[in-house]
This record gives sequence, C-alpha cells and structure tokens, in this order.
Amino acid sequence: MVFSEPVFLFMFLPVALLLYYAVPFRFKNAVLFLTGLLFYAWGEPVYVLIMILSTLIDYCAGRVMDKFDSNKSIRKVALIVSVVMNLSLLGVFKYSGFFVESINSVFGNVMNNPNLPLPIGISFFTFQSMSYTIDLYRRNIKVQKNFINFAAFVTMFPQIVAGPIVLYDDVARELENRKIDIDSISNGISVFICGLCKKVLIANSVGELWTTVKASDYSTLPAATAWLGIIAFTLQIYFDFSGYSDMAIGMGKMLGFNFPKNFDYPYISKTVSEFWRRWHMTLGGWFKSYVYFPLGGSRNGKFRTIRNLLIVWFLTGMWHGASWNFIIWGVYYGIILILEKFVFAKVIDKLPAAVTRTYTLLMVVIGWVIFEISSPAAELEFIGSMFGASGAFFDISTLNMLHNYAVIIIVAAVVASGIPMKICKKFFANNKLGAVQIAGEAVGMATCIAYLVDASYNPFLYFNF
Amino acid sequence: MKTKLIRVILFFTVVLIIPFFTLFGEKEKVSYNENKVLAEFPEFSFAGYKSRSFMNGVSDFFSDHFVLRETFIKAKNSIEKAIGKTEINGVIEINGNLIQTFRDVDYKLTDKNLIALNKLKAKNTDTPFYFIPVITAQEKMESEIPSYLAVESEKDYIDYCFGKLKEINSVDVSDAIISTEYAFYRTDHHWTTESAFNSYCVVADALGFTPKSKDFFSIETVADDFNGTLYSKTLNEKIDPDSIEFYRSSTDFTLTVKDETYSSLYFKDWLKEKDKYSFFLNGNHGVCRIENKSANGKLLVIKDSYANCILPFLAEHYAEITVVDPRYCSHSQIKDICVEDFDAVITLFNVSGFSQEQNFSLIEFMGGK
Repeated sequence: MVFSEPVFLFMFLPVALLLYYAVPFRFKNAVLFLTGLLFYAWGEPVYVLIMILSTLIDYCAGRVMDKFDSNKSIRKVALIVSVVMNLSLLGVFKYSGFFVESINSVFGNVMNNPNLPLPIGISFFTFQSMSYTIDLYRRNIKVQKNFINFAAFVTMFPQIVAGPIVLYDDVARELENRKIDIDSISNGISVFICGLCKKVLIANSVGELWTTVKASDYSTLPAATAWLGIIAFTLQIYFDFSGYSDMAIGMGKMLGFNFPKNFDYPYISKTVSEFWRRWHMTLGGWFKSYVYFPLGGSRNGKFRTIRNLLIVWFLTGMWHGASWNFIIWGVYYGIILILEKFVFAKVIDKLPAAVTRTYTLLMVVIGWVIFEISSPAAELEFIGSMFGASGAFFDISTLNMLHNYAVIIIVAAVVASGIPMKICKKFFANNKLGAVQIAGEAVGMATCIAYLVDASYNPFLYFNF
Repeated sequence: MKTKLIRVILFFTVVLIIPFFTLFGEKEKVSYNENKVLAEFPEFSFAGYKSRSFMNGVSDFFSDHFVLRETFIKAKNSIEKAIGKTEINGVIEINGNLIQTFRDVDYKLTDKNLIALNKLKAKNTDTPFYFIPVITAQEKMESEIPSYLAVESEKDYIDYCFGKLKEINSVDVSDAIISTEYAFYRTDHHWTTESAFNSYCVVADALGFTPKSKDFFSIETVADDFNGTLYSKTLNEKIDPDSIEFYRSSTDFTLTVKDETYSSLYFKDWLKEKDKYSFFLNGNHGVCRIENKSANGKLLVIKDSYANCILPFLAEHYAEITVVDPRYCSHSQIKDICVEDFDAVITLFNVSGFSQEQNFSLIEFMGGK
C-alpha cells in the first residue's frame, strides 16, 4: 500500500487512526504494531514474515546484550548476529540477483539467478532496526524490554516502507511516553497534506514528462528536450521522495512522534557536500554514524579520509539499488566530495552564490542522469544530447511539452527553492491567517483526491471503434 | 487553537465521509463511459491474500465506486486545461469539437497490414480490390489545430498507403468528407451519416454504379443527445451532444449474424443506450451478411466500425454483401470465405484505426485460388 492511494487514505488511515486514538495509552503501541503489520502485509503478504523475523532477532539480540551486560564477548556475538542477519536479508533479497548477474557476465552463465522479488522497504527497516542493536552495543541507548514497544518502532506504518530512516534513539523516549493532542494532530495534518500535494500534484505530473522523454531515442533527442526531461526528473524525484517523507512525518505527528527531518531544500545548496546534508538527511546520518565514523572518519589523514569517503559513497550508491549505475552514481558523488574537500574548497568559498548554486545543480542533474538511466552507454548518449551532440536544439515536440508542462515545472521549481514556504511562515506565524491556510490545505486535498480518482479512470480505448 | 481544532475536524470528516459513501452509498454496476462492469468487493481467501488478488480487488472496488468519481475527474480535467494541458487521453478540443489526435504512427504495422492486403489481392487477380481509407475529424479541422500539438497529416498517411498498394484501386473520399459541414460527431470519433452518404457517392463512381440520390431516402434525426466515445474520454460537458441522422430507404434488407437474421440494418433500441452508434448494423460483428433481393452482385467488405453507416447505402446495389471485421473475427470464421466468389472487394477503415490495427493480417486466411 502506498500513502497516495485511495485505499490507504480513505480506508486504512481513518480506521488505524480512530482505533489508535480510541484505546488507552498502554495499548497504543500494540495498535501501532498490528496496524503496521497489516499495512506491510497488504503490500507483502508473504514477506511480512521476513520483517517479523528480523524484528524478533533484533529484539532478542537486545535482550541478550542487556542480560550479559558485563560479558564483552557475548555482547559482541549478539551484535554480530543482528548485523549479519540484517545484512544477509538485504544481501539475499536485494543483491543476490545483481551478484549472480555480475558473476555470470564475467565467467559465463555459471549460476542461476534466483530472481527473488524485492520486499518493500527492506533497505529502510533493516537499517532502522540495526541502529537499535548497534547503539545498544555502544551503550548509547537503553534496552527495550517490551517486545510490543520494540515491534511498534520497527513496524509503525508511517515510516516502514520509505523512510525517513528513524533511529531507535530518535523515538526511544516517545515509545514510552508521548503527547498526542489537538496541536500535534493538527500540525501533523498540515505536514501530511503538504506531502500529499507534493507527491500527487507535482511529482506525478512532472513524472509524466520524464516518462515520455526517457522513452525516446537519445541519439536524436534535441538538447532542449533532453534538458526539459532531466529537469522534470530532478523535480519528480525530489517531490516524490520528500513528499513521501513529509507524509510520514505528518502521520508521525498525528500519532505523537517527532520523526527527524529528511529534506531541507537540497536544490538551493551551494556545494555538493551541502546538497548531501540537505538530501535524504537520515540516510546520510546513518552512514555517517555507522560506517564513516567507525572507519575513522577524517581523523587519520588525507589518505584514510579519501578511502573512507569512497567506501561510504560506494555503499550509499549500492543502497539505492542493486545495479551498476547506482554504484557509479555513488562513486561519482564520492569523487566530487573528495575534490570539494581537498582541491576546490578555497575556490568555492570565493565564488558568488549564483555560480556555486549553478555548479551544484549541474552536478546533481548529471548525477540524476546516471541514477535514472541504467546503461552507461545510454547515459553518455543522453548527456551528449543535453550538450547538443544530437545536432538539434529544439523541435515541435519540445514546444508541445513546454505547452503542457511549463506551468507545473515553474511552480515546482519555485516551491523547491523554499521561498514560498518562507513567505507562508511569515504570514501564518501570528495565526491570524489560519483560516486562509486551512482553506489552502482543503483545496490542496480536494485537488489531490481528484487526481487520485482520475488515475483509476480508464476509458476503454477500443469500444465501438 | 481554534483553527487547529477546525483543521482536525475537517480532515477527519473528509477521510470518514468519503469511505462511508463509497462503501455504503448506492452503487452503479456498470460504467458506460469506460464500457466496463465495475468491480465488486472481493471475497477473502487465503489464496487471494497470498497472490494479492484480494488486495487488488479491494483497491479496484474502492476506485471504481469512489463517491462523486466523475465529478472529481471532471474537476481534474478542468485544472489540467487551465495549466496548459490541452490534451486529455489523446483527445483535444477545437472549436466545440472533440478530436482524437493522430500521431506517432507505427509505419511498420501499416506496412504489415498493406502487405497482407496485397497478398490477398495477388491470390485473386481477377477480382477488383478497392482500398478506402477514411480521414478522421483531425484532418477536417487541420488548419485550426495548433502546430505545437505536432499531429501527423492524415492526408500524407493516406498517400503513403496508396503508394504501397499493388494492383489495388485507391479511392480517396477525403474531399467529399471535408466538404460536408457536419462531417464528424463532436463527441464521438465516428463520421456522420451525411459524411458516409457523400463518400458513398465517390465510392459508387469508383465501383461503376450510379449512387441513389439523396431524395431516394427520407432523412430523419433519430437522436439528439448522443455523447460518444470522445465524451467518455474527456467527460467534457461543454460540448453539445450530437444528433444522429437516419437515411430511411424503402428497400427490404436482411442482416444475418451467425444464425440470427434481422429484417433491418438499423437498431433503434441502441438509441436509448449510451452506445448510440450501434444503431447502425447493431454494432460490430466478426462476420455478417447483408442481403437485398432487389439487386444483383456480390460484394466483400473488410472494415472497421466506420463502415457501419455506409454499408446500408452500398447494400442498395448488391444482392449480397459479406462483411468481415478482422478485429472481431477468428481464423475459423473466415477460412471458408472465397474471395473469387465476389464481384469486388472493399477495404474501408478510418486511418487512425488502420494505423493501429493488430489483427488486420488475419484476412490472409480467407480462401481464394
């Protein structure tokens, strides 16, 4: 089930929320756990067992670490069991096909591809529950003795399938005690509707344009069309992903949780490293505290730092998908960040903001080409077309695309700049214009419903033809 | 605080009221605009759970019966139009007419279809063949369509087809249609009876008989509330509904479909339904036969639905017309049709349909020498 689908919005969500509000506090985590299971099982009727297994093992590992508090080696074994189990789940379900294909492409067809379908959200929930055992081992957090509370942390429906990657530490206190009042529910609704609009009204619309461009022949693609297409994708992925995070954060608030921020207007960044501090922040944070710092971070000299950065970015790329283009994409960023850190740091500091912002956006957009087009040859051809290799700049279909999508692209770009939100905050800060804000949200929600309903409307093309 | 409470109440009202009316409101069984039976609530079973068909079923049920569904869709289409998306499901609005766009033509498929027709002709060299592609509303409105829509010229497409024909006569009815004022329905992708009549006069010349004059028929308007397929695709209510004209003739015809024989080529019951174009010939049939005892000769027509309203005119001149619609027939239905038995073979399709027709090459299985 995805958040932007009628069955979720109008069946699951109201029932889950009403049930959650109706029961006394001590049962609320049980409701979270059960609704989370139902939510997950709706999309993964069989793989839900994998998630339960992972939750159980991490819970037990935590209890073992707690019980043998003074025995270093048992604590270590418990941690290793948990980490190995989570990484093996990821390895088997996400990477085995990729691994087999890569081996086969080098040595001929020596292995059969198991072709396992990817369980939804596996990259998110394994990372989340690993954060619990690792932090427990490091003695950053206290053990969770109540299985229901722990299971509620892993399975709660807002964040299970697409983040933000909530660390156990982020919600440990709220799992035991949290405030659920009109204030938090109301704020949650605002954030949720905002996220819904981002996803349904902007991401889906600009996504249609990218789908058209992506399917065309890159060797004859006019430069303007190539740019239009990749700009559309740049906006689509931001609004899709951050919209989904907003919906999760908003629903978290409705349930009384404060999830960490996941996006902070990444496209206005002045350097690529700033971009990565503003884009999918919880993933960056995860890799920083569980991979980069343990490797030594930047404390052991230039060479080690470069090595550590490359490892982190190789893994970050790989986390995004089991395919070489994601790994190339990750390493691409690793190299840019190394260059920014060790070579261009002083130059960038001196340049005007307009230049550094343009540079950052350009790097990010080229990054998206690598990310979204899976074959390296096609990526090069597409980038070639962006810079005129096809010999054409503009054609009639570019004009058609502009006519259809100019408005939505401009709106999306303006929203992504963060300026409208700043203005809104100024206006609505004193609460006097609260009614205007509510009206805006109501219109947004109604429009989202209209777009969602339309997605199911399939006038049969062939009748009576 | 007050505004916060209002927001909470409003949100929960919306997310509760919509499922309430969707689940418990009165339900339609059929969607005429989508030409489909709406989903029923699925029964739960473990197998259905495991294969997700239960979940998909709930999803379909909920979407199909969504409260005020068409109102929401109309609202969405208006918003799209306001921000510059003039094309909805491949349909554009030009001066009060809905027009289906013709572009991205698959010339390989067209070639394949024409090769099939050439092959059939090559097997039956003695029988004259006529290829009659019919333009759609886009060609008539060509000058008014904004160039950014990048539609393809139907005229060029017709010329392309004519260039590929071997030993087959090409008949161009485009001018007859373009000079007809009410040539295409505003809300449907078909041509009007008047267009069909004017084209019939051109076809008669090509086939070498004298067409009946307009006075021969008594012309009646049998429907004036026709909202056709293009309306269904756009739900655009600003377009005036269409009227359907009936050219009544005193000739006695019979229409045979499988084992049923009807004594008319027109079916008034359809005029009460959504699908009013089925008034002509009772809709589409894989194979059917039209007989007229007062005439001589045999004609074979390979066609799509555009032919349904011109066939009654042609039927005035032939004792028997065998009609083959490759979209709806099977190999076994046509293998016994012997092309040699006919005095002429007509292929009549609208250009948009012909350019997308996947089943056309089935005609090669018709019998001959």
